Amino acid sequence: MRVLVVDDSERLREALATGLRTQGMVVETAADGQIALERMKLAPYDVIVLDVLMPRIDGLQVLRHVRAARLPTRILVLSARDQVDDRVEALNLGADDYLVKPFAFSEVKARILALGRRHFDEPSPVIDVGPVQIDTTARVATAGGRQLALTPKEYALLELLMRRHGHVLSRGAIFEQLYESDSDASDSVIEVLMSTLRAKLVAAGVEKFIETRRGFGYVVA
Amino acid sequence: MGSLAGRLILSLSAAIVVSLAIWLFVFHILVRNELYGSFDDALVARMQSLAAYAVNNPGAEGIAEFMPEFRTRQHENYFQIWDAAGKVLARAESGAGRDLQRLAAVMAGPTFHDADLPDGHRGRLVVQNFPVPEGDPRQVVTVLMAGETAKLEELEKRLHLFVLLCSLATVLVAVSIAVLSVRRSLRPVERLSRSVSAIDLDSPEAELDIADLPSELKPVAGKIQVMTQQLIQALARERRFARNVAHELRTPLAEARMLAEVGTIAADPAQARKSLDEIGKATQELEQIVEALLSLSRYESGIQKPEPEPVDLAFEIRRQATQLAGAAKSRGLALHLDMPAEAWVHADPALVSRLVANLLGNAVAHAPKGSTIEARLGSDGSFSIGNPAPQLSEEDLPRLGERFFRIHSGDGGTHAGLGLSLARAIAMILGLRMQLSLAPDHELVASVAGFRPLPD
Repeated sequence: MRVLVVDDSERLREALATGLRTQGMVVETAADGQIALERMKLAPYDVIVLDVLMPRIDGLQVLRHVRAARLPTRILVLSARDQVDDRVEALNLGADDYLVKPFAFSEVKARILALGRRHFDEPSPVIDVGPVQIDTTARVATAGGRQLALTPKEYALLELLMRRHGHVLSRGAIFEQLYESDSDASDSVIEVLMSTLRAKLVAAGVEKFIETRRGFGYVVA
Repeated sequence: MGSLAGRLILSLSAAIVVSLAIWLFVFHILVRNELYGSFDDALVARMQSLAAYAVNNPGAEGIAEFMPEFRTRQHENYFQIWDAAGKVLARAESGAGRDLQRLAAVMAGPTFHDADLPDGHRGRLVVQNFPVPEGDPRQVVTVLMAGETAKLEELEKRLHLFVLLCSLATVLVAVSIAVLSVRRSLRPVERLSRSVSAIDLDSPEAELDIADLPSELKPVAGKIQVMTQQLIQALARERRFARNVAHELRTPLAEARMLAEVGTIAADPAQARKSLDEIGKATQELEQIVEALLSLSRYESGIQKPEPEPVDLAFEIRRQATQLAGAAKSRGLALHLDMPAEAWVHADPALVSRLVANLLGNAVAHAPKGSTIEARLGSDGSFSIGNPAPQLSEEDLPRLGERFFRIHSGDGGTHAGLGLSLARAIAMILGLRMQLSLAPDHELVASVAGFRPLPD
């Protein structure tokens, strides 16, 4: 899941991004609304975590832009403003959720995951494809009844392929979904990830779960 | 009575009633004097005519022919004449033989009395001694003339009743007119009152309906309008402040909490150490904000009283500039000081130190990287600190110094926006004039003046 964290507090922004990355999310950051809008032009995000009071373009203006452009991105507003009017204003402008600072990391993570499920139109946090299951809340994958010891990136790759099962995803498309746009890695890292993930699936007794469509990409059928 | 209209109506009614009562009393005195004066004049005239006849005619035989009105039995007019020895010389036939009482002390001039007449009715009488020619055995003639006053009193009563009825009618009409006039005159006040009551302080465009108000009320309504706008602006400022306090305090709290949780789940010990280090910085910033807010509260509430003593402003500015030299250097700023060797004033040294530190600190924090900060000091103690502020516009000036108001310079610095607020509060309790202005070349200049010189 691609997440954009927009907050003028560098400390909060980076701490949140670090925490979400450990959960297998692809997280990019922006220090104000203007940078956020520029990032959105470059790549789509599944969820945007948005502060309200920011320099140059504030969070409410970003909300207006996103909704005016009819982007399907889910938006979680994080704000120190706790008045009902503030929450109502943000929700009326198109925010999907509102969380008042300070907040627990577990809560913000749960809300982001819930918004992700709504984004992917999944009623349940558990995605079940054949012998493999993933719990998007616990960030846990099981294959053949055995829990897989996956790294955050491996988990993110498996989640992406299972969420889009039946759809062939190119290496470039997978890279875009799994790595930040300013990442130094090349898309060949996807092949390495694919290899280690497949090895762990085979070790759990699940073979040929991820197919390679030569010249097109990868698919969970 | 609580209403203005009620009070006015009551006052006007009381004034009308009291005025009419006074008029009635005066009328009563005038009428009485006039009626009884005329009555007395007639009595005296009759007495003098009778006396003239009696003096010249020692016998009383001809009096009845001389004054035939006393021959009737109507019991309205009486007379009686005595000589010096008290012998009755003549009496009116209307007295039917009954004597009028001869008074003990009779003067040479007419003396009036109210007394009962022989027929038992109330009457008025006049008596006077008249001299007789020398050798006349009567020596002196005492003439008493009396008249019944019943008709006079009846006339007086009728007059009084008529005037009283007229007065009551006048009171009713006058009070009715007063009620209508007061209500009509106070209608604009009621409209103004309704208009003021309808003002919604949550609506920034709240306005009074002052059209068609009388000229006396227009200045009042205008003042209310101005005060309402000031109140709305003050409320807006306080609301902004409350929101900003929430933001400024919750953000470092959120940072610390997030860093603590992320540090806890971090597998990398370096990441955990970094989180701890950042938590320390966040709490330090929180401490600074809380300290600044507490200071502002102390200054604005008047808890902290200045304790003036001689202060060298030149030394203080140089000292603060030295302390900020490191921060200025890290941002590539040049500090230019234009000041005399010494500038002594009479002020609280701790507050002056904080004032200078806040103004200089604000300039160092907000001046664009690589720019120059100018500090100028006059011999009278007035000083100014100027720094380039390209991001600032004239519209921002009124809000500069408002708590938590910040213009983002894009440098990424972390400032709570309380420095100028503190400076303003300190200047206020020191009795100084602090002014913020924007020069045409976009230099923000904070000027402070009004220092007291050293006492002689």
